[in-house]
Amino acid sequence: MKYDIWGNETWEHFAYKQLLESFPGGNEFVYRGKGSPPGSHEPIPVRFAPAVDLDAPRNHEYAAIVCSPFWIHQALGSGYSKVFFIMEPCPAGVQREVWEKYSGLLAEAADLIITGSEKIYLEQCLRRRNVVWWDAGVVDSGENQRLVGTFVERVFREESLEPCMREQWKQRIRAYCRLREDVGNHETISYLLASYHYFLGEQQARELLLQSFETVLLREHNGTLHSHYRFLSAMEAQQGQLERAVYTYAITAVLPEEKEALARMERWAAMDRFHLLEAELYLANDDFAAAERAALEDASEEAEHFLIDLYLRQWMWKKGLRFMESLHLKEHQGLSIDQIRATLLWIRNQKHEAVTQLLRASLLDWNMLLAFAENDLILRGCEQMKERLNHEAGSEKNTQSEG
Amino acid sequence: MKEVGILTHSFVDAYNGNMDNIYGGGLERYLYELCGMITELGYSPQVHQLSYCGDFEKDIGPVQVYGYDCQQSSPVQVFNQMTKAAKGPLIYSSFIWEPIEYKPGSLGICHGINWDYHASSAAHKAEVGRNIQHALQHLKKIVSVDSHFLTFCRASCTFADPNQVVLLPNAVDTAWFTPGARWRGLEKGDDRIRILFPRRISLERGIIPMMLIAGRLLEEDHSICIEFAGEVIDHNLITKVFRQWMESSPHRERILHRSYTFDEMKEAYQQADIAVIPTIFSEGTSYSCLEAMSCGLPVVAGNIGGLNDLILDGYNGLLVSPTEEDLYRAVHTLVKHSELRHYLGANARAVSRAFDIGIWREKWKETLRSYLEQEG
Amino acid sequence: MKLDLKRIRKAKDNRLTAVMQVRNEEEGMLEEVLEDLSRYVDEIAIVDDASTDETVALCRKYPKVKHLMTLPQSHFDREWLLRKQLWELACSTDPDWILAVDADEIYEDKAKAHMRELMDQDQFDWVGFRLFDLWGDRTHYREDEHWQIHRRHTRTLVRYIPGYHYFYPPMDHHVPRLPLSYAALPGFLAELRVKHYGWAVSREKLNEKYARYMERDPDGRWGSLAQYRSILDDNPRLVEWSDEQA
Repeated sequence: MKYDIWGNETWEHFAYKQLLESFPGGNEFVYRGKGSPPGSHEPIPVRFAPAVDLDAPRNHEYAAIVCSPFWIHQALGSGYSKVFFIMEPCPAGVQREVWEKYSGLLAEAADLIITGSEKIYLEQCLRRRNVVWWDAGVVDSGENQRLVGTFVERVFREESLEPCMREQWKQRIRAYCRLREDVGNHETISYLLASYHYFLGEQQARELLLQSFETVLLREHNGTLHSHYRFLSAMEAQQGQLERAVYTYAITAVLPEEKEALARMERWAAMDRFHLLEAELYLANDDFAAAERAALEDASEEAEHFLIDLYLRQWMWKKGLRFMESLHLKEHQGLSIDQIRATLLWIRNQKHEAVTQLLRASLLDWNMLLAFAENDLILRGCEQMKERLNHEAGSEKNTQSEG
Repeated sequence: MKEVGILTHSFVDAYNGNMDNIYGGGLERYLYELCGMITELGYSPQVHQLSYCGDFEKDIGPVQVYGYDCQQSSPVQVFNQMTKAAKGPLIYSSFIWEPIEYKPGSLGICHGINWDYHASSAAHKAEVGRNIQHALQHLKKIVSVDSHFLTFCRASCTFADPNQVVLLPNAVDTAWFTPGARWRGLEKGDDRIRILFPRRISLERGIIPMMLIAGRLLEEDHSICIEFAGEVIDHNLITKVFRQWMESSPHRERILHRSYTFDEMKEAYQQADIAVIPTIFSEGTSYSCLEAMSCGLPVVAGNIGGLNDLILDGYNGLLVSPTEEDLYRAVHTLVKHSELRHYLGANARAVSRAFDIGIWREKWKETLRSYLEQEG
Repeated sequence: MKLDLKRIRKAKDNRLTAVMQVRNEEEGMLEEVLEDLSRYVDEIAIVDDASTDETVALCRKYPKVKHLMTLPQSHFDREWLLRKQLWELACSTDPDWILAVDADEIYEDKAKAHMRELMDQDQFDWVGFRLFDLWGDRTHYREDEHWQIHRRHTRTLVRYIPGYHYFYPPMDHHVPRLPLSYAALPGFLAELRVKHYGWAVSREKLNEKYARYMERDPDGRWGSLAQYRSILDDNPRLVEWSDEQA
């Protein structure tokens, strides 16, 4: 297998070289951008090519490793057999909403998401089942590296990644237990342990969460009602204790929108629509993947509306579009179906079709034209990346500026 | 020498601090011509305009220009300020749709209706109607560049003197804007059909439907090329839209974009086979339309505003509703039928003579004479 | 599925239960406090920490004292355990709102007048009041380096939410009156005052209190030695107390 790597720094400063060693052997890596001087010794077989638009599409022999949503056209429009997206936090100087949106869109289309940030990892675990956390080679055991390798192999074999994710959660639990032995009971460690046990569906999660809750209160940090206590309701829902879960949520429902969510839960409960009730509980806890699963079980029109809302907010627009089309919806919460279709075409580098669609839609609503301003940001971001990678003209991230 | 004050929102380029130059738009050219005629009649023209670069005073030839900073006040407030400051009989050359405190008995000019977008609010349109009525009550005469505004006044307002609104269409220099060698059939060997969009790239001038029909035409007929002969403003949203459309087109090599100066513009018409003016709203008597007609081009135009005064559908051009489908069909027909292009183009050239600048100057001088002598 | 969520936050008809721990209060102002409480609370629950005087009999005289738990052995050196017992007693009475009162505290009239209004809403779950340490007599409170509890709020009135996670960690000092878990819930800081009379006693009694503190905590593990010493100050800074209109 050959890999095109679309990084965010020149090869010299590329932070993921060690990660590439985890990719199963026999590979050829093509790094797009300025490489090392001739004669340099590299730990992996890499050659270099300019970071420019490809003349011709790639074939099934190539996969892409992409480190920024600014490469979304290259990733999705070049015919790669598989796309691996290394997800990073929004860099300074880049508009956060645009970064989040295009990261989300790219994540939906990618085959595997890799991240070195545990925060991003946890967030993505709440959204999908094709995420792996890379430990940046910090721990010497090689366990993480082997796991990443397994993920990649399974991606190529098109097998489920759920077993690998479970394995990673168990590894994280072991790591944090070891840490707890060293540093004692710390609220963050308890919280993380609670989270991983929750992902595994294990009851220990509750006790650990309460430990974290108590520790935080002892340290006189308030605001734990939303950050900690509410999570109990997700755990209770997971263990099938729906009534208790709603009650727990109700204690934390202080703001008007939370009270509205509670009212919805009460309605579903009164109608015995337990899947929808579950879906609302998970949604209130930002567990989008579990909310999705619960709503899909319900399979009613209300569930479809619920899912459309969830998918569109989380940038899972391909899934959202399917449901909008099946319900013949022209728009949802101010987002028109034309705009969604156009965006999905555009990110796949079908720019001409996308532009035509948007222009036609704009004749009825000029606000559609605002999409072009956003496109412009991505295009300029991409040009700046190419400039930086090809010429090493200023490697600070803040040259990647927004409009 | 007696002064005559002309109040306008723009004359010299006080958008960009370029006060030595007259801004390159139709309105500014119009006023420059008007100043010329005022001078010929023995008066001293003084232009009072809004400024985004602070107050200023400038002389441009025989014209004295006064700029009033409008960044701290509303344009209407500045117009009222200019009314107080200006000397002599006044000519209000802008903002007739606003509630200005006119010096009674003055002259006004309406350069076209800009409140005719079909989907904008009825309440806004009604308010404009009230402001036009107010203008009619305070101004002695209003010169209208198209029949559109004249009809609007007759249908929506009340006034005693049927001649209070005078129709004085814009003009074209038919001696300068002439058909080129191409039109005369003297250019051989070039089978391409060149379609020209001779306008600034903006929403109201129909750039969106134009891009849509351009895409379809370029796709189905590889002998077509399309030229956009208009300015863009960098960082503007419509500019981004246009650039992305152009860059993403699979027929990029047959799309041309160029900014012409006023003097160079003739070239653009002379190289073209068809002109498209798909205005969606806000059109007085379009200079582009007159210039294209004067150069013998068949024009496909939206049936908006003053364009209706210039084009008789099927005689000297094709007049359609400015929708993608109707525009496309009209242009497609012209592409396929060269004899129709020649027929319409010849008639267009003939019709343009009725709008020759000489006629315009005479009519204006008569209007000015009658106004200024009365005021004197 | 039938959900009973109304009981989480009632916006009206809330009942007020005062809870108090007592130990050998016969010579103190317990009667005055119970008399005062009886005028505006619905029920009183008391834990007696193994009093050896007539404290329990005194409590029983008041019909609103509906719950009285007497401990056979004192917990005086484990304050947190005492508070925890008091809390558990309070919970067992199925209360709406709980007012944690000490046997030497009286709420100002304005506070009493607003008490119902503070409870009958569904926006916040606890209220903090300003406690003032009256000093030497009933007319002045103390305000200086070690005596400024009135500059912040003390949480004393809370909504009871059944099923919420309440915890009372074993702590040696600064034991809160009420479970720490209330800090996570939304609360309200009221500009209403509570008079604490524990220090509104004669010079002699102040010296006795000082002696007791030093005996119990000579190394200042549970409290500040400097504060203990300041009990003996000859000229503490005193501010005149003025009653406000209710």
